[in-house]
Amino acid sequence: MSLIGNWFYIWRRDAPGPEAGRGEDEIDDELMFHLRSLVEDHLARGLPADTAWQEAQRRFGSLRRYANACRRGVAASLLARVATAAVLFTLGVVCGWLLLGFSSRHPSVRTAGDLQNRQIDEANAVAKALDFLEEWQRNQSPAALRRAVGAHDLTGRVVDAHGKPIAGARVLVILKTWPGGQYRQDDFFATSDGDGSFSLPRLVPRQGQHAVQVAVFKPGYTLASTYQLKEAGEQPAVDPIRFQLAEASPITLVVNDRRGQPVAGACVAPAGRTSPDGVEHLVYFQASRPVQAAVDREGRVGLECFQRGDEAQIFVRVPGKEWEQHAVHIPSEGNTVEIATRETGDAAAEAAREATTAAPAEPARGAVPEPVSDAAAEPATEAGDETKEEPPAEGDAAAAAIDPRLLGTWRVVEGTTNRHNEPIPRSASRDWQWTFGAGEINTRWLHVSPQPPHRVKKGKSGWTYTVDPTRSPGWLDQRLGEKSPLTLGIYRIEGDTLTICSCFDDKNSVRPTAFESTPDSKNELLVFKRMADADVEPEPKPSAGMPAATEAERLLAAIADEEQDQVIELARQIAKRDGQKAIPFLIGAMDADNAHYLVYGLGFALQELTGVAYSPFHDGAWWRRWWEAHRREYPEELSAAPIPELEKTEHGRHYTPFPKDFETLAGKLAAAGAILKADLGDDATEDHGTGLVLNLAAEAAQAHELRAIPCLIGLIEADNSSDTVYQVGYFGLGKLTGVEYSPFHDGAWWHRWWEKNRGKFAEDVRAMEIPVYEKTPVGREYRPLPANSDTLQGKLALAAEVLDGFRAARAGKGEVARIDLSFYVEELAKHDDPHAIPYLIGMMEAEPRAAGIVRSQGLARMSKLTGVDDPLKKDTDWWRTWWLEAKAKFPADVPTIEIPDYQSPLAFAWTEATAEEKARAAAETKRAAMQAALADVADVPAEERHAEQDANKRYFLIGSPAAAGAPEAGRPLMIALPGGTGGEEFHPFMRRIYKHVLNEGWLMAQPVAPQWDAAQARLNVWPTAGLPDSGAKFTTEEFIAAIVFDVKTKTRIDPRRVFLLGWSSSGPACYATMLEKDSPVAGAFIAMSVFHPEQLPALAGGKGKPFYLLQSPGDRVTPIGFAEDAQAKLSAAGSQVRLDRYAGGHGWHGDIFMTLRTGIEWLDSPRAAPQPRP
Amino acid sequence: MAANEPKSTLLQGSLDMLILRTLEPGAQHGYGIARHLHQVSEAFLQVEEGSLYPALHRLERRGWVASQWGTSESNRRAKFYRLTAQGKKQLQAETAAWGKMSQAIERVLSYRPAEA
Repeated sequence: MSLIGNWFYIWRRDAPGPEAGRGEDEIDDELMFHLRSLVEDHLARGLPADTAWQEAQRRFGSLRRYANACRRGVAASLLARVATAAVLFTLGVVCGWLLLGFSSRHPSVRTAGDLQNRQIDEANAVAKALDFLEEWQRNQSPAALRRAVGAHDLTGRVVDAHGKPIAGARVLVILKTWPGGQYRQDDFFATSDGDGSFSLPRLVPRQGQHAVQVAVFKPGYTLASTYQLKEAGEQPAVDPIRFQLAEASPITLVVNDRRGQPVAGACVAPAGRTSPDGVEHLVYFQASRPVQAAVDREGRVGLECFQRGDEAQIFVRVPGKEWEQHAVHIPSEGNTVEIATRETGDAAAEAAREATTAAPAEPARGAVPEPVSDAAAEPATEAGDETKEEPPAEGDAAAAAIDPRLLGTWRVVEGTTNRHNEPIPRSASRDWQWTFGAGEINTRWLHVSPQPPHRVKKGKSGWTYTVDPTRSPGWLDQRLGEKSPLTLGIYRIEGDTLTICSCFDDKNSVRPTAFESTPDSKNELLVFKRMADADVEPEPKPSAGMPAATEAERLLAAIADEEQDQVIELARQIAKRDGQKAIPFLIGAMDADNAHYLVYGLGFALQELTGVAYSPFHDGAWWRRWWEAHRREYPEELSAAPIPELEKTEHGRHYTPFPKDFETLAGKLAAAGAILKADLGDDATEDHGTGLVLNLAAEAAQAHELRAIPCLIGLIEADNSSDTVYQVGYFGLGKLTGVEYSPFHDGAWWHRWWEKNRGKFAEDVRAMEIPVYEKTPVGREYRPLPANSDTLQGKLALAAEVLDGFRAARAGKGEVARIDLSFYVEELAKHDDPHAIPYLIGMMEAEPRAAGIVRSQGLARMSKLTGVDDPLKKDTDWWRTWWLEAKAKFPADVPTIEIPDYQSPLAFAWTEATAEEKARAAAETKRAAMQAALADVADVPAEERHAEQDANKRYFLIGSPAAAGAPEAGRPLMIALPGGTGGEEFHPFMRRIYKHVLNEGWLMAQPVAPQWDAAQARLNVWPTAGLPDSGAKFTTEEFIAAIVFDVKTKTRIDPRRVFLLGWSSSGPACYATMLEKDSPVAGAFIAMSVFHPEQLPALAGGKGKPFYLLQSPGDRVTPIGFAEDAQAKLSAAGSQVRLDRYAGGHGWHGDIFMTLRTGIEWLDSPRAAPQPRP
Repeated sequence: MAANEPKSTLLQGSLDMLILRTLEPGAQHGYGIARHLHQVSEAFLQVEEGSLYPALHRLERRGWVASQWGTSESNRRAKFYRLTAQGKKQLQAETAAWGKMSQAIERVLSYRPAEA
């Protein structure tokens, strides 16, 4: 949800606005602009919105950090401000430590009087801080990592069929890496030189898993590509790549819309080709930019990179639309192939028109044409030049002419337009003014809003005109800006009446012959009356300088006209300028209409003013109630202000507010059916929903309301659209149940899941039945996936269905419908089950065109299982032969499986293990592995216990707690919290620590991190009071206290010798436990941990206690700066801190037990003298 | 840490020069600068945002660039940077120094001792 919230936030705050005052926000704005531009770039490359946002954010890193770096820089010039300076100095010291290992300086050494020295110090500190941030950022980048570990050059040569070099070939490279286990894909390109050679220096990592995909494109030659996947391990060298390209057949591609009309301005790029022998060559979309080309006005473009008989894949984008991928067969005869875009004819034509003209389409919605943005004008420069109709020569002759009778201001009194085959909008017959100057027309729109006397003026310029008064009737031609096509027209002046008739056809404006606008024309007929000078309204002032009342009027007028973008922008401006004073007005404005976009747009403005997070449920009525409850918290003049009762719009009059019950989650859950109906049902007003269901699911997950599970399942069942399966499955059910999202988990799947798993929930939850809601239009059409669709056999059956469709399409001619087999193949590969292999080979045999997909998405991903090198280079026959030989090495019934013939329905002669059986087998393997790992420490006594008899407070007690032999003061106790997952798999390691580091007098307790939900188990293994998890029933501090208590029930414990051991993920919990009031522990050994004081109790809580810190200067996961910061701050707070450094980076390196013994002996030494617990 | 590697130092110094050079033809916003460097270097130079913005603000404090808010090509509010007269001088100085250095390096690399 926060992701979506962020998305909206960025989108809105960067919308065009008036010049704002300089301030702190500027840096934010600047970085936001950059981030948003990155997102747009990704969108333009075809990434879905979520991915584009995540990718941009991942690349960008922390906005806050950069903003702070910039701010600190700015503040450095204002060093006289002592308070700022103190903060900066602290930062400088910290950075100094980080960079240079300074450890002896302390902020308290500084005195307030020594201003000049401090200025110098602080400037240095700031510079260091900036350098550090830069250095840090560089170290994070893959390029820097490649530099750090060293990288090979990627080189190669491109030659023709006779071995002669091909110069100028575009070499498109995709580098796939998995830094830190995260997949990453970068694109690079080079051009071959006169010798046909190309080189990309230091590109290929020397070690670590990576893959390199290289495609070569040179018009006149066939497209070729290679793919190399390298598993982790040292790569001694990278062989040069040799491409030998055959001659391509000259092919012209024609891009049509669905109706068969050519699409001017479309952009195309080759996506791949499969040669008749089944070998596939691919261009990754991300790398395709250098080879993208535009079609001409007939929608044609030469594509000389295919051979006859090829199955070609083409990326196509209609201007302003999403990228599409199309498959075409390159025919053995003829030089033209056609593809039809998926855009409807009108949309495609419209989009193309938008791209080929800067002239606005219509002055509808009460506005004169808006200025065309530079972004829209850019393509117009290229395409418009090709397509625009130049004015007839005689028009040019009249260009300089002026008709003095035209000069002055005219008001439209009558009009008919057929620009878009629709009558002139109602608002156009109101006060539209045109002022003719020498060659320019300024148009003004006087808009009257429903609330008198709300007259709103909008100005517009940029139109130029030429007249030829010598013609009969006179010629009057207009255009907007220099690049847009000319609009041809005629005019006549009779007394104070001006009549203009113009043809608004962007591609082919034909001068009207009569003053009429018939439905089959693109003509606009306007009748004007001359305005007396006194009636001419003054020019509107720029919006930033307008008084508040006018801005508000504009907002109301925009709401009345449903000018959505304008409403949102105006609300933002008002909120920014008026601050909290705008709250009552914005609430009143929302409540006057309550349309979804308004609840959203004004809701975000109100969020910034009130801190109340946006919700689609917060309509006008909700905000009114909120204001009544909170107005007293605001200054008196504001709290007395009533919410204005504005006249309701048409929508507002018919709107039924959300009931008050919806203020609670329970209320919303009770009415989930109605919410679904409003969002996605027959009554829905928005095509893609209004976010109500998503919001409900996310809210339930955030509240960890398990009783919402049946309700959310009911919502999925009633709709089953992919959006709902994703939104409710991922943001709601996934977080509540820990079940990882899968597109195969439709309503029916969740229904079965619930029946199987409800018994695991508390009585009040498991008693609930899944409600049956009224189905949405999508839900009524939906055919549930078969019950076994998430099993291997189920997916094989689904893939076979897709293959059927694929073959059926092949039987037809021309364009092949693109059916996404790759998705299924990828899913099959995820099972990592050898049973799938013969089926994949069968798919390649059944459909050669699918062979490439099966190899790259299926077999290549299973190379660990198959052990086949270069799986992509092996053709179908090779795979068949390989299988016949290799199948014997696979266990169980795998060798009995024949490569299936997909001509007949699939039959499975083998039994697939159920999910439970697989889980059991996996658990058994894990248990066996642990038993094997315990062999060398079998002599160490250990017992599994549950503190406070709570199944979630599970821990291992290692060592013998027998009272006999315990010292008088009690036994020492080491509570060891494993890092990583915190799971029981660390038990053998813990026993070894006990055996090799501690002696028999000690006891050791190993808590097992409870898994409250999937996200927590991954991101917040050991939740604390300062960094809680909403699903956790207790904090780690409480867990530890419970363990100490439990051990005390078994034997006597020396409270001065209760210690903590933690590393990495458990480090923060160790700090937190040490620092809390009345902590049961006396000292802590903390290794490779972050240190976030803002998430910890007051550091003074650690006064007198020993902290042994261990961190590696080479640690990239938890940089040593954290430990150095901890050392400085804890020492300052009175703790005894020792920080030891070791080589090797994050993780246990070197003589681990010796290292541990050193730290524990230091903690346990008399000199540490920990404070006894009262 | 890598702070002492000559490579990093070189990069850091050259980033300022590359930014100044990018701004020579006209004003540009931060994203445009990053895109320009990426494209012109044929994707070899990847300027990290974490370096770019502190560098821009630093250049501005030194008076080598000046900034003002304007409207971007996508019709959004963006901060544009332009080269100041002082910045032009700095760019000339840095370009000259760079030329000398690269010539010197080239001479060292291409030096072949005479056959004995």
